[in-house]
Amino acid sequence: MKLLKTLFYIFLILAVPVVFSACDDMDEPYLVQTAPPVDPDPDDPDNGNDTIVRKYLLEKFTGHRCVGCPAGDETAKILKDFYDDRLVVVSIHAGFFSMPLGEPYTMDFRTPEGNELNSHFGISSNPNGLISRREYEGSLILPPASWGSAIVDMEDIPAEFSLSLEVEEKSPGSYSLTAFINALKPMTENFRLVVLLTESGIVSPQSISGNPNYPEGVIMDYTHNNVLRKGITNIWGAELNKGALAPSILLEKDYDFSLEPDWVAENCHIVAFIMREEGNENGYPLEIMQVESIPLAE
Amino acid sequence: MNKVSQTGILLAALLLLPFAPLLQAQELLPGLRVWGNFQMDAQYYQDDADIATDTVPEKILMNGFANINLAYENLTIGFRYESYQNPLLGFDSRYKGSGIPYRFASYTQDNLEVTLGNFYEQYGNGLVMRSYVEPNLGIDNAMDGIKLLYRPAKGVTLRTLIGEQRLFFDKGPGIVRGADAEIYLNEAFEALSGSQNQLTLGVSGVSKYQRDRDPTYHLPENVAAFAGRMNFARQGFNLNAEYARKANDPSADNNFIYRHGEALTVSSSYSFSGFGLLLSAKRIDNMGFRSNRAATGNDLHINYLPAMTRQHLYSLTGMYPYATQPTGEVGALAELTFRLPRQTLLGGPMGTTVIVNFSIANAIDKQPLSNETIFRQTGREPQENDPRINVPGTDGYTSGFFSIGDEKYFQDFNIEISRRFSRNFRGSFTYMNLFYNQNQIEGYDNKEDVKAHIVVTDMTYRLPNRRSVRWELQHLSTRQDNGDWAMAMVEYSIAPHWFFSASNQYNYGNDDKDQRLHYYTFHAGYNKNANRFSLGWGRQRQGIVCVGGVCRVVPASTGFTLSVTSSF
Repeated sequence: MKLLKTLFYIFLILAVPVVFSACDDMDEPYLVQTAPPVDPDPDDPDNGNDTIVRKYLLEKFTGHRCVGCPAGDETAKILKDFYDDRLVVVSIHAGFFSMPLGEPYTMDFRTPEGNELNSHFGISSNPNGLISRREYEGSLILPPASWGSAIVDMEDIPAEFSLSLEVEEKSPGSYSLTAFINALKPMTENFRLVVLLTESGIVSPQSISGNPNYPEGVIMDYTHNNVLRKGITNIWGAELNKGALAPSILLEKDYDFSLEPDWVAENCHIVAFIMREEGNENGYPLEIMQVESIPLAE
Repeated sequence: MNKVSQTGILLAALLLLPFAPLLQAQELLPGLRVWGNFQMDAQYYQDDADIATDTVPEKILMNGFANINLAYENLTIGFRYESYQNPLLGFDSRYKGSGIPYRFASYTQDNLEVTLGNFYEQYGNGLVMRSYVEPNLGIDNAMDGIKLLYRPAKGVTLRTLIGEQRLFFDKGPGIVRGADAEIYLNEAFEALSGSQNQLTLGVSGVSKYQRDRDPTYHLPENVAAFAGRMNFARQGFNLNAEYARKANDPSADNNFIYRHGEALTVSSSYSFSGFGLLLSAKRIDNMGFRSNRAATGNDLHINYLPAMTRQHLYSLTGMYPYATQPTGEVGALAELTFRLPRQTLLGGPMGTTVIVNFSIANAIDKQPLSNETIFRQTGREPQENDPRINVPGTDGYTSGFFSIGDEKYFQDFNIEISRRFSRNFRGSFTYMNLFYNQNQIEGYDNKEDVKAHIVVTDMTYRLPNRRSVRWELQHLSTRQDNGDWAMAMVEYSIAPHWFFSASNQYNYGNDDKDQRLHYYTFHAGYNKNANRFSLGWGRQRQGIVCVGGVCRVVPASTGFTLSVTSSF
């Protein structure tokens, strides 16, 4: 009886921890290989709801002296490859790790617009981001590990606006932009339109850690993409409507802007988004309802 | 106030309401015990351009909490009220507000202990499970669920738990389950009861569940970790060892690699009268384990990875504390304590204690994956300058268990000599030689490794009429970071109630002449029984507070501080 009791206790000691553990052992490949269905006709300016999808905006707060930011950039790239045109990325250089600090970090990618966003949302570390300014699991400011899940959380939300853009070069370095906006259902809230300019392909040093290819901790020829260069509108946008907005009304907004001499037009994109003015039972304050991006020069 | 706090307040009220009359009439219920404690820290912040203090629009910030517990026969209930109005600088701003984030009820019946609500738990050394609270760091990963502890036989202890972890005034998204079994052989088997060899064996299993919502990774929704441990003791000798292994757990901690994790800690000690020797070693490889794979900082840790370095209490020896590196480290510690006998030349009239301590932490060796492996695991061909280590969506790297990396993280050699010179006069002298990899430990990109020599003298002289005076002199010498520091402190006590202190840290060796600043503080305090009041004013330098390898950044500040603690 004593032996049986001893054997039972040994079994209990070994079995109880196993019973209370559960594990998923993953098989290769670890990355999802198939992208989600893409809008069959993204160039169709059709206002029909069944061809217009809600696009997502990733506002990525970063800095060239942030050692973890290359990993954040990699996450954004993976998501961009996955979602293609449905995801628009803006890299906002602001805060401590974006400050120029002597060689080799002499470039200053900060902008007044980016600084204001950084301050308003209380960004205290990099990399961090916002997905269409919607909360995910109770947080508005999301680490890179949450960006993909936050987008999935939005996938079933239908588009409520269509947004298209046309840009024309008036003279070298000077452009005019027209944004076409149409509500896809009757709206009673106020919305605002924000238009930004980004530039990609900027080669400049970037801090990195944990990569033996760069034992000094800096990538001298790092390519910075989607860098916020300026606001074509105020960063809090231009008023789109005051009160009711019917689906039959096509809104047009025109803007003129110019490039700085050292910006490369072929690498620039216009990013425009429609933003909810105030939070309510329908959604979050400053929530981005629709976003669109086009290259500045084809 | 969120739902957790509202629920907590209601539950606490419902649990305590029947006992409300009894709190004032304990004589009606003999055996009822009530106990608790209270702590409040408040600071009035003043702008100080010299040290670039943050602007605090509220001017006054406060952290406070109180624990209240009742026990009657085999039933115990309790709660903790916390209030952050708003949290002190250096604490996470998500602590804002007030509420009851901790409440529990537990009872014991026939060797079974049941706990409902919030609880803390640790299995072995904590390599797979440790939930705890450390108010000075703003850490509280308490569980909220059910915990069982059962002793089916002498020497056998079984524990299980299931629940979610606290995240400020809310809860994390993951569910944690765990079980631990431990057997103390000398109690369990009569044949061993009289043996001088004492042996304890234990085994733990913990797993977490978090839904996979990520569109780009196939993420494991259930991740398990197992550990086995032993503790052997014989007279003055003790040996403790624990090995843990964790399944694939891609997360923000490890850049979403699918490599398993493992950890080994071994600690041995030997002591006899006047002599003690402690030897410890550890290896940690990818053992970050949280109930939210996206969590960072000090949020939602399920386990605890010990630092295995000496925790220094003086301001200059504690200026560069080590923080455990969950992605990988190898460490060792050796400490020798011996007492030079009294009435000898070296020991002096009343004896001298000497502690010699050495600790080191290094990277583990990580070898890159092949292009074929990366392509097979991600479906993407790596480009020429792409890393081959820690690539997201791969196994990360390979690493031999006994392979040590080239990069040193931390090294500390220190010697402390304590002596009582006479009945009224005692003191200690400490020398410390430090190596500190600031980039790795603090996350910088352009800082030199700090190499420093630090000396401390700490003297106490007992005066008549229950008065005493204590003074410290400290010096830190380094060519890196902010350069040399000098520190002096004097404290005057009138036992048992009063103390007064003044201190100054002077960064006289800073390369930037404008930053050669004094950091002065003045404190006064009053103790009466279980109540303690402390009022201070001064300037605090930016620094890091660490407890057991877990750290918090403290920003520079100037102003008044008030601390009140009490217990009953």
